[in-house]
Order: sequence, then C-alpha cells, then structure tokens
Amino acid sequence: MSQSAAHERAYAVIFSFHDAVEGRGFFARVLARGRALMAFEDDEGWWLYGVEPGAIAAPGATPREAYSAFRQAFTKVLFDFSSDAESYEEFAYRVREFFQATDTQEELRWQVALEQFRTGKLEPEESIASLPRWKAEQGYNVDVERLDAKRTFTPDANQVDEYALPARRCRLNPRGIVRPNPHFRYSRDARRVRSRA
Amino acid sequence: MLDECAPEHEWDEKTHHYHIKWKDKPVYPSLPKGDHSKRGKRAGRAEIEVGHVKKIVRFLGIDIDCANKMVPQLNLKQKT
Repeated sequence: MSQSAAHERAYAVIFSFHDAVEGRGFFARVLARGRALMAFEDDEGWWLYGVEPGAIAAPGATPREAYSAFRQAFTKVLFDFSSDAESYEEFAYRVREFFQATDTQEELRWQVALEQFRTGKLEPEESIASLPRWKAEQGYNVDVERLDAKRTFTPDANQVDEYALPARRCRLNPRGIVRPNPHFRYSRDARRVRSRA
Repeated sequence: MLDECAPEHEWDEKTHHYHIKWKDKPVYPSLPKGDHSKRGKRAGRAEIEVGHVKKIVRFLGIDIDCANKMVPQLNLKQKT
C-alpha cells in the first residue's frame, strides 16, 4: 500500500470552474473540469490538493473553506498567466500546460481515496457526504475560448462553479457504453426518461 | 528547503503567486506570497504553510529524505 493512504481521511473530488479573464488585447473564458484530493492533515486542518491540475493546493478549517481557497487560488493562477502573456495564444498555452501537469503522486492517493469511498471503507463526514455525485470516468479537461472574437453570446454558456464526489460506480456494458450504477436515483430517473421515449 | 533540495531552482514573483521552476519539471505557479514578499511582510501574513511545501515536494519530485531533513514537520513518507 502506498504511503499511509489506507487509513487516510481523504476524499477524491471533482470540480468544475468557469473563469472570465482579461489580458493584453483579449478576453477569454476558461472552463475547467478537474480533480483534487480533499485530505485532513493532522494539526493543519483540511487541504485540497490538485491532481489535475497538479500544481495547486489550498487549506481551510473545513472542507468548504479549503474548496473556497482552492477556487480563489485557481483564478489567481489564471490572472498571473494573463498578466505575463503577450497574446491570447500564449495565455491559452500556459493555461493548458498548467492544467495538463498532473501530479502523479497525488493521483495515486486520489485513486486510493476513490476506491475507499466506493467500497464504503471510508464514511464521509456530513459536509462532504452532502456533495453532489458526478461520474469520475467522464474525463478531465480545460477549454480556453477567446470571447472578444465571438459575435454571438448566449446564456446557455453560463455555468456555476461546483465540486462533487465521484458517483459510486460506473460499469461498462458489453457494447462498451458507460452506464451509471442502477442503485442510484440518477439512473432510475434516466430509465424513466428512456421508457417514456 | 528548496536551496538545499532543489538546487538551481528559479523563483519568479508574480502579482498573486510565486512561480517555481526546477529542472525540466513544469512550473509550479501557485505558491502564495508569504513572509518572503515585501507586501506579505507589510500585511503580516504567516509563513508558507506546510501543506504547500508538501505539495511542491510531491509535484516537483524533490527528494523526500532531503525535504524531511530540512523541514521535519513535513513528515513525508517514501513511496513504496
């Protein structure tokens, strides 16, 4: 077993951030779906450690505080990039490079935490258990889009920042299509929608 | 710790954070400005927290024995 992960109070979380950033001669939107590890460190409280992107971390007295600090740090990283960038292309390159720099050690801890959560070995405290559940298998990415070149805007593009726990389990059916765990309400709702259709 | 365990690393002060570059590793762009900056000193901010140091050690792949020696409260464990 790697490190002391087996008994670590740590949770795999997924986040979705939406930033609007001004730079030299450009205005850009950054949409990120990433993952991080919410870990309780003795004497230091809660820390949210980035996995993807890996080069970021933030503390807090509670998980919510750690998330808020992490969220703000993420935006500040983008603002530092925009201050440095001479062009939109340079900014977009720096953002993608930052996001794609995964922390491989943190990723191992994230995978252990995910497994512990899914097998029920670690019961999350209430503040964490109440988070929404998202599919962990959907992938992680960052999308940088130049807005000042756009001619049309729509409210459909608006998104709320959020973080979530991974859904308990996704399985592959023989055709290789990911299906949600049938024990969850989400899938019951999905079946209802399918049967109506 | 960086001077000892990540020789020839480079610091770059930005508006919000420090950027740290070491060897061919990606830049670490999110180290908060603690007591090292003039503005941080004026604001009376705390020194850099241990969690940030742990993160930097893991992300940049700094030798854990060296890091533990320099900052004993890190208490980082070797990967097995």
